[in-house]
Formats: sequence, structure tokens, C-alpha cells
Amino acid sequence: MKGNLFALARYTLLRAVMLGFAVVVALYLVVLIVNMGGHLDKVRRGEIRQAVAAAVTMIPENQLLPPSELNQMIERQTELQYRYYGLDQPFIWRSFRYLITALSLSLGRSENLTSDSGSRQVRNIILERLPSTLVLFGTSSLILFFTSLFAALALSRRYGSWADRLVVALAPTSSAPGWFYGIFLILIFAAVLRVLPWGGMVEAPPPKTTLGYALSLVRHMILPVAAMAAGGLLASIYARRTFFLIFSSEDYVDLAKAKGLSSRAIERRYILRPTLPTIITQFMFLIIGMWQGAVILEQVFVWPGIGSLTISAVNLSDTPMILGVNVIYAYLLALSLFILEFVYAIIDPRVRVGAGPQRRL
Amino acid sequence: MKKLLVGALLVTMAFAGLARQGAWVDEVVITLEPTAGAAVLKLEAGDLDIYAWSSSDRALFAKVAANPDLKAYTSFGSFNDLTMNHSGDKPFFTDGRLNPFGVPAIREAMHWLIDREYIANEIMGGLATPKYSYINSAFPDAKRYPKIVEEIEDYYAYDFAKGERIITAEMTKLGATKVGGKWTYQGKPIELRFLIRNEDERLLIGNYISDQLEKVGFTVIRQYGRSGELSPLWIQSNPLEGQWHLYTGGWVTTAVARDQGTGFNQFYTTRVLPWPLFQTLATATTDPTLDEVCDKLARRDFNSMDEREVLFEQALWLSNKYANIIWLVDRQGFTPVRANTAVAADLAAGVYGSQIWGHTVQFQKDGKPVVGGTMKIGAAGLLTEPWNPIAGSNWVFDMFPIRATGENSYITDTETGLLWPLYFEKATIEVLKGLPVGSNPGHDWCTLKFVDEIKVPADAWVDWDAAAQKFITVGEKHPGGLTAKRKSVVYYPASLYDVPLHDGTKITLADFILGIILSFDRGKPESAIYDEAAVSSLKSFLASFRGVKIVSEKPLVIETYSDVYTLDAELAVSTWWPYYAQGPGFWHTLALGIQAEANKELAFSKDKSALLKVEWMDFTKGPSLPILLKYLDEGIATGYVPYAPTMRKYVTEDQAKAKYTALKAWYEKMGHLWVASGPFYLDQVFPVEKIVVLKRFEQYPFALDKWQFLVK
Repeated sequence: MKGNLFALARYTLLRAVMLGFAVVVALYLVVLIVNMGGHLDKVRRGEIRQAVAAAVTMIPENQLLPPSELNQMIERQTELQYRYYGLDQPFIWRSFRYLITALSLSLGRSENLTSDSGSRQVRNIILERLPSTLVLFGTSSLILFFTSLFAALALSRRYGSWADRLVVALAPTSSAPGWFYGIFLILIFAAVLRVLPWGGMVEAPPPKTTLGYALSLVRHMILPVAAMAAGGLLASIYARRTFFLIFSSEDYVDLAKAKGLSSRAIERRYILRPTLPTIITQFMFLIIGMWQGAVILEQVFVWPGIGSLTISAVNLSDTPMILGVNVIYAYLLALSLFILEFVYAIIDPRVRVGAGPQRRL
Repeated sequence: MKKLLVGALLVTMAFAGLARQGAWVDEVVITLEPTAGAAVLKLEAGDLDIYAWSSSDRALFAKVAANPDLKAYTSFGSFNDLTMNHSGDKPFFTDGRLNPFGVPAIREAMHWLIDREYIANEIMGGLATPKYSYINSAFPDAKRYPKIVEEIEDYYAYDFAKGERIITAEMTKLGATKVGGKWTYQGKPIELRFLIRNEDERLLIGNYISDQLEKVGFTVIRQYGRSGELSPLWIQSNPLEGQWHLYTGGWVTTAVARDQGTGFNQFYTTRVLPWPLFQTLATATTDPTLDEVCDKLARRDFNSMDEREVLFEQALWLSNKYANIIWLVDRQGFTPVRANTAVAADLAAGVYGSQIWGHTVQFQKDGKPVVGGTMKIGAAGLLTEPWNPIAGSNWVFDMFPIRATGENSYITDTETGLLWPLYFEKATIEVLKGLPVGSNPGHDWCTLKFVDEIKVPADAWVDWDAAAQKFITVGEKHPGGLTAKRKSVVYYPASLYDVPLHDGTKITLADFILGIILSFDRGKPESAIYDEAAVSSLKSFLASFRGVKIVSEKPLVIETYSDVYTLDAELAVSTWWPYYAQGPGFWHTLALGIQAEANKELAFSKDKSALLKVEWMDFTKGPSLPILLKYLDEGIATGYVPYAPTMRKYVTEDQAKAKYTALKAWYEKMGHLWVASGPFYLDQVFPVEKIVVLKRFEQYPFALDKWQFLVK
């Protein structure tokens, strides 16, 4: 017992250290990639100098100053801007500061982006967009997940039926992304039929009552959710249905059938149970995947989520902002993987810590 | 009887329409629509009335033109050029490679090698005008000098053979030879590295020019990239190192430039732009006359408009001949709107940059404006950065709604760029005899006088003592006296102090005084709200500012003395109306921000907020509001007045308390602290949803059709 506990503790610690190390390395790579290994500093310096010179020379009074004085003014302003962006310090030093700020979850201040309500704290910027991302992607992901799960189970029971053949035939349509369907859905339901809104979160101006706001929100979610479903549902059903079919043809399932167990009992005990680790893993990834939103879909539907925020941050090379989004994803991913290790052990009797005696067998 | 009743009703409605003041529409709802294509679909469906952004998508323009329910406003705010690496007019880079563009004659030959008509019509789809010189075809100087413009267009018209002939002659002189149709030097092909911007039509322009250069025998290496990728090369690198040869440039102007003469200095001399490309220009030695005329035009060193014309003509011809930059097209953008709407759109900046879009936006029926309604406007961006008048968001997306809520004391003519008085009655401009200043017909509100000398009164304020919080007079700073080149006298009407603000209070003299104080204070290290970023602008201001004097408080008359003058007297008025760089600001709202910054809780500017690690001040939303409200409550209790040693003369404690109380009531009703005096007030802001709702300000004092003559 004591030995088992020690093995468990050692394993837990080792996994935590490994995952932590992976997070640090991944985030530092993000810092390096976003900053082009430090080359971005050179680009930024050029842009700042250009912008400052243009702004200073545009002032009519300045055009009458002697060139040396004008240059002095430009230099001074440029230096101020360099300081503002931290360009007065070496990139290597800044890169570690970025990393520590992100890892500590203080997240710091953005370099360019401002939250919708005017804050420059990365935390505020993310928190402001999080609810709209969660409400759209949470809803659509959960609908997509459970619909595909139960539909796949049902199809695996009716292998070869017309419904099964239809799903198999239509599954390739999911190869197009959700935003692609989104454009068509907008054209059909907003532009031509005029029954659903073009995009945005709510009508303008937004309804004043909570109920009115919620109803308007639901109405605005119909098309993006439908687009995501069109882009993923059939392929997801097809993949899961195949997955369940593989497990349905195992010997122990045939044995259970021969013993005369009901199909529901077979499904629950002999098909679902061994597939549970995979399903839970997929579910966990789905949950943390919600965090990132969907970049293009949000643009198409003018949905103010984390995805469009990320793309703005990337366009502006706003390192603290990009790290802010990524560090939370990285922590969530690491935590999920960590938790899954234990979940597997609980739900799957084949998984054991150490596995020494099994090796001897 | 029925007819009588209908008639009576119509008459009543007509009178109601006449009596109505301010905006034509009751409400404006602005929503985010990032893409012009989607916006046009929404316009077609009637879900938007105006898309307040300028597009240059020619397919979309054709679509709008073909739809009778839609129309478009065109604007001329940007232009494209071909920038060449002149390498200081030396035909060889430091590593010995031959640089054809080090020879002015080859650079000039590029004029004939490029078919600007092709660029304007085929590449830009008609949304551009060929540009043969620095002069903008839509701006006043083009109308002043049409003959010169025409002669230049004729001389530099597309002539490929001529261009090739000159290049061949010059290349041969340099010792280059053509081998297999390709120019070589010392046995190696002459490779031109062409930096081509790929975000817009410059990609096609760059490819077209590359093709033309290849036709005359050059080997072109096309390097595509965005601004940030290419700027380290063309802006930062030393031209003599030869890291590039050509660049597809683009420039933008957001207002009608009435004096383009000052721009030559920027592009053709070493005097303005600090980048190596311009600092290594050899204009002064290669063409001293060009250098001299650029300088004279920039300093307005001429005594009459005739003299200016001579200089301008020289500058145009010589700059085209020197040709370190050659101009290609004046671009046109278009703003799509529904056909039943109208607005005064700016010639340079379209609808989004128009200062009076709020005053003029209207629905129309049979070409006549109708009163009322909700105007649905799409914007390519919205609520991008915090709103504060001192140093808040400078984004056009934010300034667009801000301009509808507040205004200066004058209106800028959307066609001519001249001013029209709004809150003041008249102005007098005095300038020294011999200065090239004129007045424009139809602008009788401005009287121009030429005088031998302008003495600044000893009691005029010329500077600010930030520690003592008192003005420094001319007598104190310049005991020997001070003179100026220009004096502006602005006369406000006696009814000025009846001008209503959105929160129910009225404008006061203190609003003007605070504006004068803030012109100095933030740039002074002793100030509680000192901002390093404001030092340069204060320095620029002080370099030409000679004093300001309140001659009369009621009616308000303000004299301003300066060494800066403009060709148009109307543009030289200094009104001191409390409209700051980023919008309207009145003393009782700004007082909250001043305290918040002094106590390091918020900052007006982005730079200082980063320095203090506090939020950037926003009067409309977000984490700034609770902090500002704290000072509002304190103000109600204490009657706080900023810069009390000076401002107390203009505001009593009770007046201050009354102002703050009205502001608190405004906040409780609206949920924000954005107070202005324009034709619309900010009704609702939805930051995450990106929606702004503006409502008509019923107490706005000016007639509906005051600016109707600017609506096209």
C-alpha cells in the first residue's frame, strides 16, 4: 500500500514536472515565433520612426523649425515610443520577461490592443471576450458533441440502414469549414429570405430587458451554430459511428449477444465502457478548445470572441496578448492531460500506475 | 373640410420642420461591419443606410453603380508613387554595383516608361486619376494652376520609346552593355530589387512596372511584402548600400490641403524627413534651384500669389526632372450609401472623415430632405480605443461618432477646406505687409488687414507657470516687448453663454480658459499632469505662439498673436473653442480626468498610461468610469476647480457644484461622462457588441438646413 502510494506520488510529480516543462518550452517558442526571433524589433523600430516623423512633420509650426531641431524632436519622440514598447531593452531580456509575466498569469498590459471597454490589461481584454466565445462555442460544441455521439451510437446499431448510408454519403461535405457554410447561410437566410440576422451578437440597439436580450442573442446564434454544425456534424457522426462499429465487432460483444443480453446492456457495458477513455478525452479537448474560439467564423459573423481577438493580436504582433491567450490554453491543456491520467485509471481497469507486475507476466 | 384639415396638418408639419434645429434624423445607430462586400449586401437589403468607410474595390464600385437603390460618394485622399533609390545621385553603390537610378536622367525617363492611364483605368478600374506631378488633381492648387498642370501632363505623357531611348543612352554612358537583350555591367546582369507592397493594388502596379523594366532589358527581382516587412529596407537602410532599387509608395491625406507648396520640402530635400533615403538626397548639389524653391515654398517666402505661382511652377518641373519620386495616380475611394440618403462628404476623407456628417446626414424623398427617422450606419471599426478629448483615441473609427457629438466653433468646408463660422460671428486677421495672405470671396465673416507691425500687448498671456498655476504675461517674459507676424481677433456673440451642453449646463468662459491652460500645462515638468509625450508639441507651439488676450468677456473677444500664417486668411483664425485634439471637452468633465491623472489613477495619453501602468482614460465606458465618478462625487461635495489660482476667477464654488451635480444626473441617465455640444448626444455605448447609439440633441441651437449647401 505504502509502496503504491509512493509510486503514485512519484508518477504524479514526474508528470507534473514534464507537463510544466512542456508548457514553458511551448510558450517560449510562441514568444520567439511572434517576435520572429527578435527581428520584429527592427521592423517595429522602422515603423515607429516612420510614424513619428510623419506626425511631427505634419504639424505646420514644425515645418518652419531648423532641420537639426526637427530631427531632435523626432529623435526624442522616437525614443519615447521605443521605451513604451520596451525596445530600449534587448530582446532576449524582454523575451524572458514576457514568459515570466505569462506563466505567473498576471498577463500584464497589452502593447497595442485595448479591450472593448477601454482597458489595456490583458486579463480584462480576455475576460471581456470570454463570455461571448463561451456562449457561442460552448453551445455549438456541446450540441455537436452529444448529437454526434448519440447519432453515432444509433447508427452503429443500424449499420447499413438508409440513415447510415446517407451519413456515409454526406460525411465528405464536412470537409469544408464552418465559416464556408456560414457565408452561404448568411446569403440564404439573411440576404434573400431575410428571416435571420447577418451577424453580430444582438440586434442594434440591443433590447433593454434581459429576456429580450437573451432572445435576440439566441436568434443571432442560430446561423453560426448551424454553420459549425454543417462544417463538422456529419464527419463527426461518421467517425464515431465507425469507432463504435469496431468495438461492436469484438469477440466479447459477440459473446454477450450469444448470452442473450439486451442490446442496451451490450451497448452500455461492452461498447461504451471501453470507448469511454477516448470519449472523455475528446470531451476534455472540446471543452478547452472552446477557449480559443474560431478565428474566421467569428470574422464572418462579426462575433466578438477570443478568435477575432487573437487574430487582431497577431496582426498587431501584440506579444503579451498572444501569450495571454496561449498561456491559458497551455495551462488548461496541461491540466486536462494531468487529470486524464487519473481519470483513465479510474474508468479503465486496464490502466495502472507502475505496471511492474504486468511486465513480469 | 377634410381638405382643410389635411392642409392645416401639412402647414403644421412644415412649421414643425422649420422650427426643428440640429440634426435631420432622430437617431443614428452605428454598428460594426468590417467588410465592404458584406456592407453593400446589407445596403441592398436595406439593413444599412450608409457604410461609413471608403473602399477602392472596383468590382464593388460597379455593383453599387449598377443598383438604382444605391449611390456612392467619392473622395480623393490617397495617392501612389514610385520611389527610387537615388543613392545620393551616385550611379554606383558602395560595393561597386551599378545603380541606374543614381542617374537623374534615368529616373526622369521612368515618367515615359509608365502608362499612368493604364494604371488608373485597368489596374484601379477607373477609381483613380493619372498623377503626373506632386499636385493633387482635386485640391485647390490644381485649380489655381491648371495651365501648368496641363503642360506637365502633356510633356510627361506615356512614351515608352522615348523612355527606352534615354535609358539606353544613359546606361551606355555608364559602361553597361546589353547581352541577349539584358543589361549587364562588367559581365553581370544588372538586377533591380523592387520592393512591392502586397496589401492593395500596389501589388499590380509593382508587377506592371517590373514588366516595363524587363522590356527595356533590366532583370527585376520582385520582393513582395507588407509595410512592416519592407520599411526596414527602404526607410532605414542606407541607400548607398543598395539593398533595394524601387519601392511602390503610397501616401494619404485626411483633409483638403489648401497649400500643397509646403509638401515639396518633404519629398525632394533633406530638410524634413529624417530617414536615410531623404537625408542622402543630393538635391542641394545636383539641382540647387529645386532645393531653393522647395525651401521658399515651405517657408512661404514670397510676397504675392504671382511670385508663388512662379515658384510653384519651378518646383513642379524641377521635381519631376529630379524624380527621386515620381507620382502615379491620385486614388479615389468610394463610400456606398442608399440612394434615399444624403450627407456632406469630405472631398479628401469621404463620409467617415467629414466633420459635419452628423449635421447633414438625412433621408431624402424626391431629392428633398425629410425630417426624422433612424439612420443605420455601418462602420469598418468601432470603439477601438478609449475616448478622451485630450489624448484619447485617434482612430478614424472613433473620431467618426465623436464628430457628431461635438464640434469646433467653425465648420470646415467639405469641398474647399476653408472655414465657416459656427459659434463665433466674425474674425479679423492682421498680417504684416508683404506676407502672401489672401482672403476668399464669399467669406465676408473674415476681414483681412495688412499692417506694418503687430505689437503684442504686455498683458497678453504668452506662457504658463505650472508650479504657481498662473499665466505668464508678455510683459513678464519679454520685458522689451514682443511682435508677431499675425494677429487673429475672434468675436463671439453675446448669446455665447447660452450655448447648451448635453448635460443641461451651458458653456462658460472657464471652458475657454482651461483650454488655454492645457495648451501649456501637460508639457511642463512642474505640472501634476506632466506628460513627456506632450513636450514636443508644446515646444512646437511655443516656437510660433506670441500671446493670447481676452479683450472682452461678454461678448467674448479673443486676440491671438502668432508667427504662423496661412495663404488663406480664413484658416488663420484662433478661436480657443474647447474642442481638443480628440474631441470636445468642457472644464467640469476634464476636471475629473485631471485629478485622476494627478493622483496616478488614470492617464489621458496612451504613453503615460503605460508609464504609470494605469488605465488609459475613457469618459464613455470601462474601468475609468468608477475612478472618474469618485472625483465627481468629491466635486459635488467640495466644488473643486482645477488650476484654482487662475480658474477661481472664472468659476465660483457654487457654480462648480451645480456643474458637477448636472454631470452626475447626466451619468445616472446615460451611464457615461461624454458631454459635448454637438447635434447628437451619445445615448448608449455597447463596447463588446460594438454598437453606438446617438440621439438628436433637441436644444442644439442651429437650424436644420444651415449646412445643406454642402450636401451633394
